[in-house]
Amino acid sequence: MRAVLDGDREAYRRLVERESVALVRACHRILGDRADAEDAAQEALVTAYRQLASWRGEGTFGAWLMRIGVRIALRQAGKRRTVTWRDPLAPGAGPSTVDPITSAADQSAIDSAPLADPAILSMRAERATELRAAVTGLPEPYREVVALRFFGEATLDEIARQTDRPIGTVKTQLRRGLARLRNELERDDP
Amino acid sequence: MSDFGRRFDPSELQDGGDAAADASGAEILVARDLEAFARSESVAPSVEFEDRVMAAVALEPPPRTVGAGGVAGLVAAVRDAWRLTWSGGRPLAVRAQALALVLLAAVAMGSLGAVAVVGVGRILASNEPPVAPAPSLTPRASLPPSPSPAVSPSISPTPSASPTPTLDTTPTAEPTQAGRPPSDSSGSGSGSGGDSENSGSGSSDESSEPGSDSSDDSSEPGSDSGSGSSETQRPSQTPESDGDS
Repeated sequence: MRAVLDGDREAYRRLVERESVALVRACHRILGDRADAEDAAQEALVTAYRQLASWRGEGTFGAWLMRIGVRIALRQAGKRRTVTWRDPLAPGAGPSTVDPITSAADQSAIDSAPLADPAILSMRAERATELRAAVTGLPEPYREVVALRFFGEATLDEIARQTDRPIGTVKTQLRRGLARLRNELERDDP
Repeated sequence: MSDFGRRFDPSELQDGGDAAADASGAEILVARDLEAFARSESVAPSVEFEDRVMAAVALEPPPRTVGAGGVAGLVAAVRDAWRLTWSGGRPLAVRAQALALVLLAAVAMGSLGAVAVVGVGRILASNEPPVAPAPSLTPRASLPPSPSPAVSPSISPTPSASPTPTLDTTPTAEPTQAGRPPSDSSGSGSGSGGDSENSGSGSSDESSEPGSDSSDDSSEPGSDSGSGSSETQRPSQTPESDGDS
């Protein structure tokens, strides 16, 4: 880090190589598009480089970078309007009575299904879209905590350190965020 | 974050209370759902991603330590923000943040300049205290006189109505009128001069009243001012002329 602050750009390239995989993956989980995810990750890396001098050194550089990237990706996801076309005459388009537990069981069945099955792929993509929209539709601070924990794969300690919140507060926000997420998913899939 | 695929632990939702454990049953399912979704979304960056990032980083100025440059660093930051604001190909949010920094610096400079101008103005004003108050007081002094003339005419009529003291002089003139019958018999033209002189010689008349009633008739035509002393002499002259004739 000192080398980067001294003007060594190659040192920063090594940081990019180390952190870009997790960063792009987290952004892709939020945005659902590879090009958009790379754009968000690039913006996060440039922002981190620009503000590297203001980094307080609390926690790892990867955790700090991940928070920047998740915030940028969430902001971009909030700007987009996801339009989902549904055929009202298609089977299963009407209201169903699937409870969350059944839905989770279906999800596990989808996960264990062969990847080549087009129907399974379609259902998985639809489920991913629902989850993505539900997470990005959460109010703050639940959205950031849930996204950092499940999309950024950050630990609660890392989230607490990066957001300057007590660990108990982060746990409470994560639990409330998941509860809101459950309500939102039940509303979309009654 | 460092180890990919970290399993979600239900204890992450419990902050020590049993109520939280009871309420987290459904939330754990959602968490598992999210975890499965994250596991399925494993996208690696493209090959040229790092080069892209480093090309973008090359356009950025090297990071500076905060506060190292002082005013120079602040100026450089504003300059970078200005360049970032008008450079194309950047997200609107980044350019908006840079523009906000530029505007903030402009407002800060403007307010600082205004405060400096006001301060200098006050310092200059404090160096000239006698000049500044004087013109401010003179117009205030010129305003009150305008109502005062309105008051003075209202006062002047009352003294004009009070010339009662002049009426008091007429009684003093009455004794002269009492003496006029002898003057009327002696000659004409003494009325006008006698009236004015009676007011001035009232005291002398009073002193002369006890004994010189007849001598007033002879003194009226010639000696107006020194009537008191001449009156005592004339009676003595008239007997002489009588004696001569």
